[in-house]
Amino acid sequence: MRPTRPRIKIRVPKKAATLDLGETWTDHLQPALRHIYDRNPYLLSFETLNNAVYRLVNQQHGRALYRRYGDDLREYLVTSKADGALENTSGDLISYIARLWTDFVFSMKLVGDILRYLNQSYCKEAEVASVEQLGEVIFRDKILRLEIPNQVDKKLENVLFDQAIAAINAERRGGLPDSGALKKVIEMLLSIPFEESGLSDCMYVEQLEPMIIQSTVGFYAPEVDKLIETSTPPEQILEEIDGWLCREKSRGERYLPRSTRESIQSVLETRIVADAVPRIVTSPIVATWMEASEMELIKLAANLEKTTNNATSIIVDRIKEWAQSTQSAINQSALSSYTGKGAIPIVKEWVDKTLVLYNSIHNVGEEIYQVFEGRVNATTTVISGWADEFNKFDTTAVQSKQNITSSEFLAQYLDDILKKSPKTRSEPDMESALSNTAVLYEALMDKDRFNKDYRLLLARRLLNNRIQSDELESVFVDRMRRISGPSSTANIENMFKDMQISKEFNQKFRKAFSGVPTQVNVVRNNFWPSSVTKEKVVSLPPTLDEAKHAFEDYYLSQTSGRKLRWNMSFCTAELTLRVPAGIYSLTVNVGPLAVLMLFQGGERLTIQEVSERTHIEFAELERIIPPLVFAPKSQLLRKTPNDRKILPSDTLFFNTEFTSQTPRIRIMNVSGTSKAESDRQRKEVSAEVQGDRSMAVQAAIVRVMKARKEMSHALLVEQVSLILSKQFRASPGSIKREIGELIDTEYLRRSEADPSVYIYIS
Amino acid sequence: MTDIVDEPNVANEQPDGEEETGKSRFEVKKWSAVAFWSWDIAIENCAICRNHIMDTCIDCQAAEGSARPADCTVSWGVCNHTFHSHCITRWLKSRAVCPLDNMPWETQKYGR
Repeated sequence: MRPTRPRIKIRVPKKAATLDLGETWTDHLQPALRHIYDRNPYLLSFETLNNAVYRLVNQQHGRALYRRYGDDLREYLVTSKADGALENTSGDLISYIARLWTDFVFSMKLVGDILRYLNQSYCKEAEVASVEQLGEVIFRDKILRLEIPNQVDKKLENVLFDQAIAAINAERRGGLPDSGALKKVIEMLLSIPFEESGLSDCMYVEQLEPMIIQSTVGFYAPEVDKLIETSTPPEQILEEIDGWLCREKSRGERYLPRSTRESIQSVLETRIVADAVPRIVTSPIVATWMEASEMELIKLAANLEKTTNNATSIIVDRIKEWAQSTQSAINQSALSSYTGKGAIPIVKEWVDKTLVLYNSIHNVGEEIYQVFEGRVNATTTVISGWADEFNKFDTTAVQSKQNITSSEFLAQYLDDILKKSPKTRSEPDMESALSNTAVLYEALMDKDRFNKDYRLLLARRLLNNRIQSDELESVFVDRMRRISGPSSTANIENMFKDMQISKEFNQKFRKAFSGVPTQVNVVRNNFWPSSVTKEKVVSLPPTLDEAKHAFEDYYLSQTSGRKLRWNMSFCTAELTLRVPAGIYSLTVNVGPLAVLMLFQGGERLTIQEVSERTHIEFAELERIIPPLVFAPKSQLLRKTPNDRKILPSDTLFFNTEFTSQTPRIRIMNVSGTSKAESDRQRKEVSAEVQGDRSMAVQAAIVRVMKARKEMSHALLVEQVSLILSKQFRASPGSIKREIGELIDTEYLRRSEADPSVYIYIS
Repeated sequence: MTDIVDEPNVANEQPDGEEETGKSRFEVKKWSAVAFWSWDIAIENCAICRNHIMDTCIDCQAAEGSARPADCTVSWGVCNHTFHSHCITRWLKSRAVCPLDNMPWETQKYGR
C-alpha cells in the first residue's frame, strides 16, 4: 500500500478536470467497495464516489471501470469467501450460503448505489448486465460453482442441492429443518441466471426444481411400496396418500415457489396416485367395499383417482367388474337350483338380489359421477357393464341345459306380485316393487320376448279372475310404455279392453239367458297369446252345452261378420256336490268336470269308457284322473285296482264316503303346467318371437329406405338396429338376411355403381 | 253321455239348502269359458293396406292412441271380398269397383 496522501479536493470544475482511472480506482473506489463487501462500518461519501464514477464514465472509462469492478469482486470472493464456503460443504451449507447471500445482496445494493452512473450510462449503451447482475453471476461462478477439491465434477452447488433435497425429504419424514434458510437459498437460485445467455432461466428452474420434482417420486414411490408390502389396510393407505397431497401443498406455501408446488402436485397425481390407486383398489378390495357399502372409502379412492386426470377410472372399471361377477353368480345360483316347477322362490331370489345389486351400483355410480364432477360417466359405464352380464342369463341357461329365459323369470316375478293371493302384500309395497322392477325391464335386451311372456301370464290372471286391481296392473305397464313407447304396450291394453267389453256383454247376456249362470270372456284373435286363441273343443255336460250355444247365438246376433271359436282349456265351473257327509262346493276345470259328471250315481266305468264318453284322449285323462283319485283333499273317485298306475282298463266309481274339512274344494288344473307343456309353450313363444322379429326388421328397413331412398349397407344396418334397440337387439346378420329377403321381394335393389349401396324401389 | 244328467234345468234352482233326494250329486252352479272372435273371412290381410285384417288399418295404426281404433272395422262387398272399412272407403273415392275383381262395389255388410 502506498503512503496515504492528502485527500484531493474536488471542486466543482469550471471545466471538468481529467480524472485518472487507475488512481481513482485504487485510492477510492476499490477500498470503498471492499469495505462494503466486508460490511465494515465505513463512512463513505456517496456523493464523492458517485461523482468520481460519473466523471470516469464520462471520460470513456466506463468499460474499464466495469471490468475492474468485476475482476475485483472475483478476486475478493476467491480470496476471502471461497475457503469458508468450502469448509462448510461438510456442514450446514444451506444456512451458510443463506447468510452469505443475504450479506451479498445487501452489498450489491450499496454497490449499485455507488456505481449507479455506470449502470445508467455504460451498461445500457454497451448492453451488458448491470453491476448487480454481474455481481450475482460472479457469486455463482466463484462461490456456488466452486470445484470441490479431490472430487471429480463435484461443485459446491451440487452439495447445496443435495442438502436442499435432503432437507425436504427430512421434512417429509416429519423432521423440522430450518425452512427459513432453505427459503433464502431458493430465493437466491431464483434470481441468479443459469447461464449468461438470455434464453436460460434461473438456476432454480434449470437445476433444483427438476431435482425436487424427481425427489418427490423418488421419495413417495418406495413409501407406497412399503405400505403395500406391509399389507397396511387399503383405507389407511388411501388416507396416507391423501395426507401427502395435503402436506406437499402446504410445504409449497412455506418455501417453494408456486410453480414447483403445482409440478409436485401433478407429479404426485400422475405418478404416485395413478400408480398406487390400481394397486390398492384391487378387485377383492372393491368387492369388500361394495359388499359392506363402504361409500366413504369408495369416494375417498375416487377423489384420489380424480386427481390423476385419467379419462377412465380404474375404480369404476373394478366396480363394473364386481357388478358383473356378482350378477353372474346370481344367475348361476338361480340356474343351478332351478328345477322348473314351483320355481317362484328361486325367481324371487334372482330378481330381489339383482335389484339390490342394481341399486347399489347405481348409487355408487351416481356418487362417483359427483366426485368426478361429471368427467367420468360412472353410472352409465357401471350399469351398461352390469346389463351385459344380466342379459347373459339366457346364454348361461342354455349352457347349463336349463330351458328358461330371464324374460320369463321377470314375468313370473311380476305375476307373483300381481296375482290375487291369500298372502297379499300391502299396496304401496307392491307398487314400489313393481316400479323398481322396471329397471330390469329397461336393462333387458329381449323386450319383445318379455312382452310375450308377460302377456301369457297376464292372460292367465285375467281369465282365471286373479287380477287384484287395475291400478296395480297399470303401474308396471305404465313404466313399460314410458321405456319402450306406446306400441310396446298396445297389445296389453287391448287385452284389458277385451275383458271390459266381455264384462259388459255378459251382463247383457245374463238378462237374455235363463240357463246356468255363464261368463264367457270373448277376446280378439290377434292380441292375446296364441295359447289363448287356440281352438279347443270338448264335450260339455248338456247344461253347459246348452249355455254355450245360447251364448254363441246371442253373440252372433249382437255382432256382424264375426265368428266365434272356443278355447275350452280355460273353462272352469263351480259345482255343488251332495254326499251323505254334506254339501260341498267344487271348483273344477273342464276336464275333471266332464269326468265327474259321469258319476252322478253308482256308475262303474273303465277309463276307456270315460274316454269314449267325454271325448277326452287317454293321454289327457292320465293327468285329469290322479287328482280326483289320489289328491288327499279331493278323493272324489275310487279306482280298481287301487294302485298308482292309470290304465285304460281300470275301473272308476264314486267315493260315497267322500268327506272334506273345508266346504270349498278346488281341484287344481293339471293341464298346461306340466314340464312338457311349458316347454312346448316356450318353444312356441320362441318361434313367434323369431317371426315377429323378422317382420319388425323388415318394417324398419323399409321405413328407413322409404325415407332415405338410397343408403349404404353399413349405415342401414346401424339405423335399423338403432330403431329396434328399444325392443330387442337385432344382430347385423339378421338385418342382412332380411335385406336379402326384401331384395328378393323387390322392395330394394343394389346400386349398379356400388353394390354396397341399396336403392328403394317405390 | 247325456243319459246321466236327467234334469238339465236344476241349475236354475238355488243349489243351497238341505240335501234332498232327487237332486243330482253334481250340479253346475255357474261356469266360465273363453272364446275368441275373428272376422268371418278366410283372408288374413287387408289387400289394400296389407295389415292383418284383425288389426286396425294402416292409417289408424299410425295414429295409435289418438284415434278411436274401435271404429276401425271391416266391410264386405257383394262379391264377398273383405277390406278394412277405412281402406275400401278411401279406394272407392277414386274408383267405385272392388280392387280385387274390378266389379262395381256394393257393400254387403259391415263388421261390428
